[in-house]
Amino acid sequence: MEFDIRTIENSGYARFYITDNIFITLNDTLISMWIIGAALIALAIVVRVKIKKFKEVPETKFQNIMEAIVENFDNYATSILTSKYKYFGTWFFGVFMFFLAANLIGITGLRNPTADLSVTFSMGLTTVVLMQFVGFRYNGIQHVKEWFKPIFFFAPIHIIADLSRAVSLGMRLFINILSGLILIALIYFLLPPFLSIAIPGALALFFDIFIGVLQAFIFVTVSMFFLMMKAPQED
Amino acid sequence: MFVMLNAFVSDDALSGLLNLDLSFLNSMWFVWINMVFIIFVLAWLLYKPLLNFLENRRERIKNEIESAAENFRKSEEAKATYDAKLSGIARERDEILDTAKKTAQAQETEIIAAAKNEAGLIMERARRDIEQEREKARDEMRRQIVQVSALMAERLMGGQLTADGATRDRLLNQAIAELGAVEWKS
Repeated sequence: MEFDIRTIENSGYARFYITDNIFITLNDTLISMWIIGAALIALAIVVRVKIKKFKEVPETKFQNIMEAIVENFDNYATSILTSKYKYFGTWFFGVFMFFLAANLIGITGLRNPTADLSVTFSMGLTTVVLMQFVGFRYNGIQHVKEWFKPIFFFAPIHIIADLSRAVSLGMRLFINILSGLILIALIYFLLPPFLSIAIPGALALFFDIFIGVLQAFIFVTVSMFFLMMKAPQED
Repeated sequence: MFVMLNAFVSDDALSGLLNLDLSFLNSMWFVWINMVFIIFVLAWLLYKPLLNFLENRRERIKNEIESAAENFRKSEEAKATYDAKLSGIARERDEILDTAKKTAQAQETEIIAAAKNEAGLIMERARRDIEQEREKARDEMRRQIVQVSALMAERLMGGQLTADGATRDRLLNQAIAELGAVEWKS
C-alpha cells in the first residue's frame, strides 16, 4: 500500500490513494471531526483521571455537570431500551456526544461533520447493523422468517424497509444541519454589510444550538426505537 | 464562517454533496472508522466509569438507608422489650404488695382468733376456780353448820352423844351426806 498525494482541482483537498479505487480525502469534514475527536477524547481522559478524586457528595462543577449528563442519559436510555438492552446505551451515549459536539462546532466557524452525508449515513447504517444484531440475537431464526412474511417474494421489500431506516436517520440529521448551514450562508450574502454580523449570528445560535441539540437527540432516540422494534415483543 | 462558505460557493462542492459516487463511499468508510473510534473512547473512558461510579454510590446510599432503617427497627424492638420489662416489674411489685397484704390479714385474723380462744380458756379456768372456791366454801359452811348443830344437840341432850364418840361421828357424817344430796340454798 503506497500513499500517493494528488490534489483535486477546484477544492484543493489533499487525497491519499491506497489503491486506485480506495482513497482518503482530507476534507473539512475530516478535519473538524478530528478536532471534535481530540476535544472529546481529552474530556474522556480528564474524567477517567479525575474519577478517582470524585467525591461522594459532588463539590466541583465539573463533577456535577458530568454526573448530570451521564445520569440523565442513562435514565433516558433505560426508559426506551428497558434494562434488558441497557448495554446499547453505552454505544448511543458515544453517538449522542459525538453528534452533539459535531452539531455545536458550527458556532466556531468550522464545518459541521454532520453536514456531510457520509457521516450521518454511515451512522445510520451502523444502527441498521445493530438492529440486525438485536434481531438475530434475541429472535434467532424468527428474525429471518420475518423477512419472508407474508410470502417469500416480500423479502426485497423487507430488506429495503430495513435499509430505509439508515437513509431516514442519515438524511434527517444531514438535511437539518446542512439546511441551517446553507440558510445562514445565503442570508449572510443577501444582507447589507452593516447587518451581516448580528442577524446571521442570531440565526447561527438557532440553527447550531437549538436544531443541533434537538437533532442529535432525535437521532439517538429514533435509533433506540428502531433497535427496540427488532427486540422480542413479549418483554 | 468564511471557511464554510468557501465550501459552498464553488459549484463542485455543492454538486458533490449528494452523489453516491466513489468519493462518497471512500469518505464513508474512513469517516466511519474515525467516528467509531471516538465513540468507543467516549463510551469506555467516560460513560462506563462514571456510570459505575454513580451505580456504586446509589448502591452505597441504598445500603446505608437500609441499615439505618434496620438499626431503627432494632432500637424500637429493644425499647419495646424494656417497656414490657418495666411494666412487668410494676405488675410484680403490685403482686408482691397484694400477697403481703393478704398474708398480713390472714395472720391478723389468726392472731385475733388465737387471742380470743386464749381469753375464752382463761375465763373458763377462772370460772372453774370460782366454782371450786364456791364448792369449797359450801363444804366449809356445811361442816360448820354440822358442828354447830352437833354442839347444840350435845348441849340439849346433855352429853349423851359424847359417851359414844365413834357412833356420833358416823351419824353426823351420814346426816351430812343426806344433806349434800339436797340442793343447797345459800
